[in-house]
Amino acid sequence: MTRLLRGLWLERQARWGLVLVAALCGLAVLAPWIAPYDPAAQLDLAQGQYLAPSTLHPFGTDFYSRDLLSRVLYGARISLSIAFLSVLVSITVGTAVGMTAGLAGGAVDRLLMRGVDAALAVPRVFLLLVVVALWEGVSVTGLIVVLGLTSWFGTSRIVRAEVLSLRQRTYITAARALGVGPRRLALRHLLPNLAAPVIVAATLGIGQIILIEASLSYLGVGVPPPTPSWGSIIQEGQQALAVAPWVATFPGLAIVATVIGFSLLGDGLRDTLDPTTR
Amino acid sequence: MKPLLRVRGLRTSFKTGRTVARAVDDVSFDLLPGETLGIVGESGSGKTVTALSLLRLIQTPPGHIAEESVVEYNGVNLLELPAKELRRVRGAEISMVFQEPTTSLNPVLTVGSQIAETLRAHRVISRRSAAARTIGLLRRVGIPEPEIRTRHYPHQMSGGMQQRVMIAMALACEPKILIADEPTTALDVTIQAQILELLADLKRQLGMAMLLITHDLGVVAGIADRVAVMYGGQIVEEGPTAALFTNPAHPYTEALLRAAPRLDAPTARLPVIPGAVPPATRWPTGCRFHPRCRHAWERCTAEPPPPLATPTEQRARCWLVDEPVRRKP
Amino acid sequence: MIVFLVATLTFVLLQVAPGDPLTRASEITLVPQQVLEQQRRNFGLDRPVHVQYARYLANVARGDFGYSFREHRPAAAAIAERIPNTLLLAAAALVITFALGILIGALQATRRGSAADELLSLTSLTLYSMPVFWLGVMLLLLFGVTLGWFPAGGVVDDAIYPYLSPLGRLGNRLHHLILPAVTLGAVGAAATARYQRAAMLDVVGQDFVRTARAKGLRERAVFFRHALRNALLPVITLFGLFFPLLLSGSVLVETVFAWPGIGKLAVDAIHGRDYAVVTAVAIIAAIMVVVGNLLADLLYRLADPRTREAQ
Repeated sequence: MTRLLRGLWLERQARWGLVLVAALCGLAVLAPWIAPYDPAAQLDLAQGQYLAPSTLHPFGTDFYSRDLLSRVLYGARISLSIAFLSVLVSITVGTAVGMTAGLAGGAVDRLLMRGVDAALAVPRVFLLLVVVALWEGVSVTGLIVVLGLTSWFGTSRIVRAEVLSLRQRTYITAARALGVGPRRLALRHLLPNLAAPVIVAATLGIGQIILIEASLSYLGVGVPPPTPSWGSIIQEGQQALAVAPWVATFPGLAIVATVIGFSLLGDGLRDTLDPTTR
Repeated sequence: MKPLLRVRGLRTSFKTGRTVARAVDDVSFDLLPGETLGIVGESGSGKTVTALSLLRLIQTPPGHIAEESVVEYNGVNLLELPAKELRRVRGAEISMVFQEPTTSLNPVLTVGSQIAETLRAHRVISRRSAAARTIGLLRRVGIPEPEIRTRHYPHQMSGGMQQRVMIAMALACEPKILIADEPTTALDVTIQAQILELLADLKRQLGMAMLLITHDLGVVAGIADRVAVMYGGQIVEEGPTAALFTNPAHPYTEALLRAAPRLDAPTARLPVIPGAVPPATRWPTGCRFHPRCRHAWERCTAEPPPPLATPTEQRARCWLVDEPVRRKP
Repeated sequence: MIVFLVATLTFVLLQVAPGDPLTRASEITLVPQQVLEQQRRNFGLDRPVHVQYARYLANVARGDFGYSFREHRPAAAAIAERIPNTLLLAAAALVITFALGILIGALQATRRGSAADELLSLTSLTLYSMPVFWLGVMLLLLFGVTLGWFPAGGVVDDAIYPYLSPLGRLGNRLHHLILPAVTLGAVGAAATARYQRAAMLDVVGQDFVRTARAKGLRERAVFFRHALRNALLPVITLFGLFFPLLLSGSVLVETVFAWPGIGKLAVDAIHGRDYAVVTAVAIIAAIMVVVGNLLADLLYRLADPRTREAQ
């Protein structure tokens, strides 16, 4: 672990990714203590509406005179937890499907991969929009499950490819020759070797899910209203673009920083964990 | 006779990170009109880099050709020529044939268009007559049904055919010099002989000079007038082919000759040269061959030998030329 | 195949979703219970699921997507009206994506490691990490609200459009098209540039580029005829992958710029629980993706002679 961190630190881009991700996660976790105000508190409806950024409200306030900085910080909590948990779902399913396809081979493999190909061709935001919208007012848990279940396709492909190449290696053949059963083979010999590509896919996946969750929330079918989410704040901000441009600006910057952070970290992890791709 | 190509003190280095690899380090030779000079060496000896440096085909950076190096063609230093004028030399006066025909041809263009393109780059010639000349060239390098083949893509041809296309392309503008860099290494043994024969024939017909680069002594023995042996980024021995083969002056040449399989005197085991070629980032001090040389003494580790003339018309970078008594039996 | 899958998937989703199409309609219009039952029978909603499914597939195959309660007309008609707008936007975005992406990527490759290269890499990474709708909102803020160069949304100025000359109409359309198309194209262009740069660097180091130089070709010919042509091959495969992204993106961009295409239609339909339209848009989107993939295959075959073997 320390070796991995040091390796990441030595690469300029990965270092930036690490710093960004650590800072954002820290802010998200500590939001209740850092945030200057309660994100839902309507501070002063009479005069506090759409206040421009100032020392009192570094990011300004919104239509309901809520402090935007606090809302963006709490938004980080929501967006990051949704992303983490969805990715957990997606890599679990993706790894399971990929391993099944890679180990089973034959018709099972073909069927699964054909399905994945088809799924990859479906416009994702579109699909999610339909799914989420049909159950009016999806809960956050539901959102996590749906996001996770629609984003494992890429991971399953990577895992399958990795399993296929690992299967050719001599030590797997040796283990099989020694009579190691298929289940044990999969769990003890294959799974640890899959860790590297799966971790990379997960890191890059978090950024993607954050983008998609923001899109859904922007369209009004993501995180339900009173909870601050970056996407929904931007949507609110667009209504008042001429009056209070800061409302739409800051959460967007937060999204960009987060996604860049995870991209850089993911690329860095790939380079450090797998020296062969260099 | 005045040399067609005069190379003096050529040095090419590659910079990777903090280390500098001196791949070609002080190479000098002459190429006379109509002659064939063979450059022989193991991989890593710098022979390919030498060839590429002549026409400045080294990627810079990381590559770098030292400013004081001279590659003189018809009295003009190619290394100082502006890009536009260098372009008029490349492919028209001096052409190259590369080692891997499969990767050296553009996969998305027909072979005909790749040959015609060379013609059109150097001659004022219509599209139609370029196409006609292309067919003539394909026929000349021994490709059957050239009218059909000209419309084929490289992947539709065998390696031998592809190399013939490369040769046709190189000869399109009837150059004065042909540089052939390991032209047969990637090919089947039976095809190798055909390609070499073709090169020798065309050379005779067109009266051009040829620089034949190879790791295979057998190849140069057949067609080269003179041979230069490279080791450690330098020419360690150079001379007329027959003299060099019968009386090798440099221990490295000697070892190479002994390591080459001979049909006339088959031995059970071929002797190998002990050790490996040192990396171009850290050449040994003194003579670069001394760690692997069975004759080496103090002088060899201390002082790098300059090219010294031998009684049999060779020049060798070896102190043995100076002190023949040191040669061990 | 994909179209069939999507059709089925939409049907299943509609079946498991709470409520049926008429519940919503009844909420709006306050129809008596008997009329509702009568309507249910008319639409076959009282039949068993498999019968409904068969009828649904047959209808879809005929291009009949059902009746839109929100628009008070067949869903197919509502969509047909909007498709040209979406296609216009998508086509403009595609042009921007590939023209800009390929140009920038190739340029970066020729000046590898320079300050310009680093800056462009950073820009494309940033764009790539940006939610497309936010980019739209920001462009709207800068060029629409602050500078006032471009209109805030819509396809044309409804108030003055009928009185414009044909040329004026075209100008008005283009004026409205620029911001949404740039928004939708920018993210794709960033991805393409990253790809193109890598592909170009790969190709530039290859032997046939050296051959082209050794032949004495002009740098321009080496670059365009030899290097770029080969570097385009991997980018063409991106073309097919871009269609799903493009459609997802157009849902968002159309919403940002109030662009009356099928993406905006879908969002409105979802909010209004207009199932016929939702289904129809999903299926149309699937068809577009399939067509896009076919196009990409075709292009690839044109560009790479090695795949043309079996002609």
